[in-house]
Amino acid sequence: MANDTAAEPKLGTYICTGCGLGEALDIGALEKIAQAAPKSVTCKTHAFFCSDEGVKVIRDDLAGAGVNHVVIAACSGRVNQEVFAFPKEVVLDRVNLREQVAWSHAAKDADTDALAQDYLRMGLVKNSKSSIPASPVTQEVYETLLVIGAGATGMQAAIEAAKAGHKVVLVEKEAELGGYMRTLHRQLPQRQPYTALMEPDLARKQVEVKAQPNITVMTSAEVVKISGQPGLFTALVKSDGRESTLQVGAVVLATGSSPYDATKLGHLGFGASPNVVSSDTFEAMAKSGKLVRPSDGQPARSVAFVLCAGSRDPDHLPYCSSTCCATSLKQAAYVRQANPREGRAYVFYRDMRTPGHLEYFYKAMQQDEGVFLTKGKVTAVKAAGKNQVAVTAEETLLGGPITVEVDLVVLATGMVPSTLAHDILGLQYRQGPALPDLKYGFPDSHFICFPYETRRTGVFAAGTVRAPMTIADATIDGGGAAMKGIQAIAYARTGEAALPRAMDPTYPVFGLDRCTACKRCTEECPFGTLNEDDKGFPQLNINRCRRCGICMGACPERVINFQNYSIDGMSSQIRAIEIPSESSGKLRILAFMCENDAYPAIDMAGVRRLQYDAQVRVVPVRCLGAINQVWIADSLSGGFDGVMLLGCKYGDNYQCHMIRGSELAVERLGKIQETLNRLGLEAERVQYIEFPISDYQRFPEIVKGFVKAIRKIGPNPFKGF
Amino acid sequence: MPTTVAPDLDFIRSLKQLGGENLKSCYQCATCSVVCPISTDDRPFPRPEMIYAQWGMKEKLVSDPLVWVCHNCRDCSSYCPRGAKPGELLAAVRDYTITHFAWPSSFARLFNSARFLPLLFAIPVVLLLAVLAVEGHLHIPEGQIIYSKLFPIHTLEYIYIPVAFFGFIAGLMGMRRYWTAISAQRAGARPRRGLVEAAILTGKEILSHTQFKKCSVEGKRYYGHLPMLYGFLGAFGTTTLVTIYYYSGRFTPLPLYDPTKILGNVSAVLLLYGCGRLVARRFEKEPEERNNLPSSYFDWLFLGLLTAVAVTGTLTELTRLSGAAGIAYPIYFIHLSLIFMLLGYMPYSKFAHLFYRSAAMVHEKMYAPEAVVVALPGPPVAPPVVVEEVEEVEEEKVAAPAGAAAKAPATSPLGGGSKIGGGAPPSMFGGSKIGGGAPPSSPFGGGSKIGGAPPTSPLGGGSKIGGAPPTSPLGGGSKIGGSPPPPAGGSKIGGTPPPAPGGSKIGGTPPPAARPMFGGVPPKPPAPPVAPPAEESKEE
Repeated sequence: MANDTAAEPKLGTYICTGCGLGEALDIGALEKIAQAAPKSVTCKTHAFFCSDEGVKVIRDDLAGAGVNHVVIAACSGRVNQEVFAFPKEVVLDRVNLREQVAWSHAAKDADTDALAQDYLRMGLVKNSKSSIPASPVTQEVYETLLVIGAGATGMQAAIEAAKAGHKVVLVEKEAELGGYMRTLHRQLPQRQPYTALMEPDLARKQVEVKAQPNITVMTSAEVVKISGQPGLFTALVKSDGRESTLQVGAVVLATGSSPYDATKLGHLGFGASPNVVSSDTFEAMAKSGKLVRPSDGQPARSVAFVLCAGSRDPDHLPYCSSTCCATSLKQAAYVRQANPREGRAYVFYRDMRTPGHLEYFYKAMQQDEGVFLTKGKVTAVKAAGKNQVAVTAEETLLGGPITVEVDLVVLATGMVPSTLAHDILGLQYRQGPALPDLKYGFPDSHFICFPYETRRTGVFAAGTVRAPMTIADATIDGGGAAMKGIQAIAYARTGEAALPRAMDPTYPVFGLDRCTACKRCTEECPFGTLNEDDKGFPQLNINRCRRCGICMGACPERVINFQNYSIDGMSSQIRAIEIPSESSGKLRILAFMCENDAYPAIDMAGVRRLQYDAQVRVVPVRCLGAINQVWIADSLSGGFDGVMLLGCKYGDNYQCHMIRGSELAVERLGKIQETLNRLGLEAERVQYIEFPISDYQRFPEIVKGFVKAIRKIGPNPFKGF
Repeated sequence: MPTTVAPDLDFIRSLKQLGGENLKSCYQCATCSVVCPISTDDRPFPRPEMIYAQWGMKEKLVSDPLVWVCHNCRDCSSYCPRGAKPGELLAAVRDYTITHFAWPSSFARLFNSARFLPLLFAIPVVLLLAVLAVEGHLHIPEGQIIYSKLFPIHTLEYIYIPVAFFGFIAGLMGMRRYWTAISAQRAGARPRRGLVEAAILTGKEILSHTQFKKCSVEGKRYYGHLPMLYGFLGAFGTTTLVTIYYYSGRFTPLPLYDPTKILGNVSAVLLLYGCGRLVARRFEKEPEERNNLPSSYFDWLFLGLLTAVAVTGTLTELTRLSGAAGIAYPIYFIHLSLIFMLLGYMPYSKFAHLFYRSAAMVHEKMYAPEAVVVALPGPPVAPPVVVEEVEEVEEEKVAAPAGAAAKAPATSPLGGGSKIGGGAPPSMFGGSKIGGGAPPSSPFGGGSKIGGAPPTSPLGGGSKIGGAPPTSPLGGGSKIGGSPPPPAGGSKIGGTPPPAPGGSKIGGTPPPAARPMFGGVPPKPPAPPVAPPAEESKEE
C-alpha cells in the first residue's frame, strides 16, 4: 500500500517531570537516551506538559522544527488523549512513565530507572517503526440501510434510520408489515403504571413506516445473498418472484423468532387432549374472541398455564425466553376478563421472571382473586373425562403435590431464533453464509459491551433474533441497531475501524509475495474479514476488519503488519530492553498485555499506588490473539527469563473484545510450550494468565507469584548468547 | 396422592372484605413466619395460611388451629415486604370462622355488616320496653333511685339467665363444630397430652397472657387486653355475688364499703381502662412505615359493645349517686340493652374468640409438637427502619452487638443484619426459627432466626441472635449477638459451637419432619436424644 507517510522522519521527545516523575526518576539519563535516538531533532523536558504552555512547546516544534514523530514520556496513553491531539499525519507515541513506573515503583531507585529507560527506548523504537496511512482505502460508500424483517424491531429500525436521513430498504417475508405483533390480541403494558394491557401498537407503526419517504418497503420478499463489506454491500433480494440487486452500506437483521415446537412437549400433555394448546394458539383464540375448549366448543372458564414449557430444559431449550412469564400473566388476564365472576387462571411457574417494569404488571395480576400462582413442577397433564384436563404439580408452595382440573391447559413455549433454521443473509463470506453463533443459534456478539455488533462487521442483529425479549425491548433494540448501522457506514466512509478500536486509521497490510496460502488468517479471523482468491491467497475486505491483529498473530510467515504495529516493530521493542547479566541476580520478565482490559487494569493499579516488581516489562498488544509466536521465541532466545500473557476470559462466557483472541492465544501457547520442551527450556516460562479489568488489585500478587515461579526454575540459560 | 384443589372465589372475596384485602400480594418469602414471635420451627405460620387464602382453600383455613394461635401482634404485617398484611388476613379468617361455625348459621350473617346494627340494637330495646309495658313501669320511678324499681331483680333474671344461657350454649355448639373440623384435620393422630391437662395449661396461659406478651410491634395491646379480661371476669363475678346476696336477703344498692361493691368498682375501673387503651390504640396514628391497618366493622362490634357496657355501667352508678333520676334510669335502660347484646350475641361477634381461641389452644396443646419458643433477650424489636447503607450494617455487625438491632431492615434486598433470614423461596414452610438453619437436605430449608444459616447459604441467611458465618457473601448480619460466629449454625445466646452444623438452641434437636398439608397423620418427630426439648425450654 502506498498511503504511508513519505516525509523524512523528524523525532521530538518530550519528557514530563510533573506528577512526581521529576522526583522519582533520573530525568537526565532519559534525556540522553532520547537525544541519542536516530532522527532525533529535539528533546525537551517540562514540569507540566499537559498544560496549555506545555502543549504549545510541542506544537511550536511541529510547526517550527518540522517535527513529525512525537514521543511523549509522561502519563499513560489512556489519559490526556484530547490534550495531546495533534494533526493526523504526526506519528505519536506515549511512554507510560507515570502509572506504570513512578507511581508503582520505588522512587530514586536503580531498578525503577532501568524500567523507565527501557520503556523510553521501547517507545522510541516503536515510534521509529511506525507510520500513518494517509487516506482511507475505500472512498465511495452506499448510505442506504437494509433492514430485514418488518416486525416491531425492524419497523422501528427503519423509522429511526429514515428519520436520521438515511434511505432504508425494509424487506418483509410476509405480505403485510407487523411480524409477531400481527398475531397479538393484547400487548404487555409499556407505560405507567405498567398494569393495563394495551392494544397492539401495530397500525400506528405501519402508517409511520409507509409515511416515511426514505423507506422503501419490499413485502413477500427474501434476501437471497449479500456480498461485499460495510459501506459496500450488494444484496440480492427476491420479492414477489422478481429479483433485484440493492446496494447498501449496512444491514440490520430483525427477523425475530418462532415459538418452540409444542409437539415435542408430549411430557406436558401436548397431544393427550385437544384441550392442551401452546401459548401462541391461545393468543390466536383470544384474538378471534373464542376462548373455548377445542374438544366441545364450550367456554374455557378455568385455564392452567404451564410455564417454562420446554424452556430451561436441557432436552429442549436450555435457556430462559424471558417473556413467557409475562405473556402467561397477560393471557391469565384474558381468562379473567372473559369471566370476572368465576374465571380461574392457574399459573404454575418455575421462577416468576418479569424483568423491569413488568414487575408492576405481575404485582397487579397477582391481586386478581381469580389468578392462582404457585411455583411448582408440573409432573402430569392428563385428560380427565371428555372435556377436562387434570394438571398435577409437585413441589408447590401449597406444601405438597396438587391437582387442578381445568378446561384448558396452555403451554408457555419459548423462543427459537429465526437464524437457527437457516442463515437468512446468504453472506458471500469465506467463513460461510450465516452469522456465527455461540450457543442456541443466537448470533454471537460481545453481549456486554457492544450487543448489536455481530461477528460480521456492518451486520447488526436486533430484537428476538438476537436474544429473547419483549416488544418494548425489541423496539429499543431496533432503534439502537439502526444507529449502529449508520455509524458503520460513517466509519467505512473515513476508513476507520469500528468497535472496539473505533477510529483507528491503521489496517493490516498483507505481504502477499511471501504468502504461502496456508489460510490460517482466513480461517482464524473472528470477523470473516478475509475472502480467498482462486489460488487460496487472502483477499482483504478492509471495512469488515476490526484491526485486532489476530491474523498477524496467526501468520507463520509473518507477512501481515499494521503501520504502527508490526512484527519487526515489536521485535525491535523487545530487543530494546536491556537484559541484566546473570551475575546481577536480576530477572527480566516480559508481559504481553491486552490493551482493552489488562493494560488499563494496571494503570488503575498505578493510580492506586500499588507497588509491584520492577523486573517486569509490559508490552501492550491489540489483543492476545495478536501476539505472533516469533516474539515469544525472540524474547526467550534474547535472554528473558519468562513471558506472561495477560488477557481476558475465553470460552462460553468470554470477555475477549475480539471474541476469540484469548482462546487462540492459549491454543497457540500450547504449541510454543511443546517447542520449548523440545529445546530443553521449561514450558512454565511462558504462561497465560486470565486478568479481567476488575482484578487490578491482584496485579502485584500475580507478578510476585510469577517471579517466584521463575526464580524456582532459575535464570534463562540462553542469557548472554 | 396429590390433593385436588378447587379454589373458592367467594371465600377469597369474603376475606378481602373482612380486612384481608391485600392477601393476594403475598409472594411467599416467609418473612412473616420468621419474624412471628409465636410461630415455631416445627409449625411455622402464617406463610402457608397466606397461600391457602390466595388459593381460596376455605375448608383448610377454617379448620386451621394456627389461625387462632395468632394473637394479632402484627409483627408479620409490619415486616411484610409486600404489604400483604398476614396478620390482617388471619384476623379476617378468624372473623370468617366465627360466622362459618356459628349456630344457628343464618343468624350469624347479621353480624357481618353495619346494616344490621339497628336491628340488633332494636331487639333488646323492644323486648325490654315490652316488659316494662306489661309490668306497668313505663315511666321514671319516683323517690330514691333504686334500679330494681324499674326492673325487679327476678324479672331481670327471667330475661338475662336465658339470654346468657343461649349465648353460651350457641357458642358451645359453634365450638363443637369447630372442634370436629380441626380434629378431622388430625384424624388418627395420637394426642401428646390429655384434654384436661391441655385445658389447664390453656387456662393458665390465658390468665397470664404469656403468649400475648410476646407481641412486640403491638405490645401495647397486652396492657389493654389483660385489665379488660380481669375487669370483665370481675364484673361477671360481681353480678353473680349480687344474685347470691339477693337470695340471702341483701338488696342493692349496696354501700360503697361492701366487698362486692368494691369488687364491682375495681372491675369497672379495670374494664374502662382496658377498653380505653384498646380503643385509643385503634385511633393512634400509625407510624408511616407500618402501613395503616384499619379495623373492620366486625372488629369494632365487640370492642365497641364492651366499651359501651363499661361506660354505661359506670354512668349508671355515678348518676344514681348524683340523684339525677331523669338521666339515671334511661342510662340504666341502655346499659341493660347493651348487656343483652353482649351476652346474647356472644357466639356471633368477636366475643366468640373466647370459644374458638380456647378450643384451638387446647387442641394445639394436645396434638402439636411442643412449641420450642424462645423469649428473645435484649431490647424489643424495633419497627422496621429503612436502612440507607447496607455497608453500615456490615460494620455494625462487627462493632455494635446490641445497637445493630435497631437497624434491622425489613426489606433490604441484601439482607444485611436482617431478621428475615435467608428464607429460600422454594422452601416449603419458610424459615427455621431456632435450629441453626435446616440442613441443606431438609425440605424446609430457609433462614434461621436464631442460629446461623448454613455456610453455603447464597444470600447470607441473617441470623437474629447468633452470628452468621463470615463467609456469607451478602452479609447476613447478626441482630443481637455480635460475637464471632461458630463455624456453622449459631447457638442461641452465647456462641457455644453446636456439635453439628445446624445446631439448635437445645442442641441436637433433629430436623423437623415434614408436616402433611392435607389431612393425614403428621409423622411423629423423631424422639429427642436425651431430655425432651420441651422441658428445657420451660426452664428458660
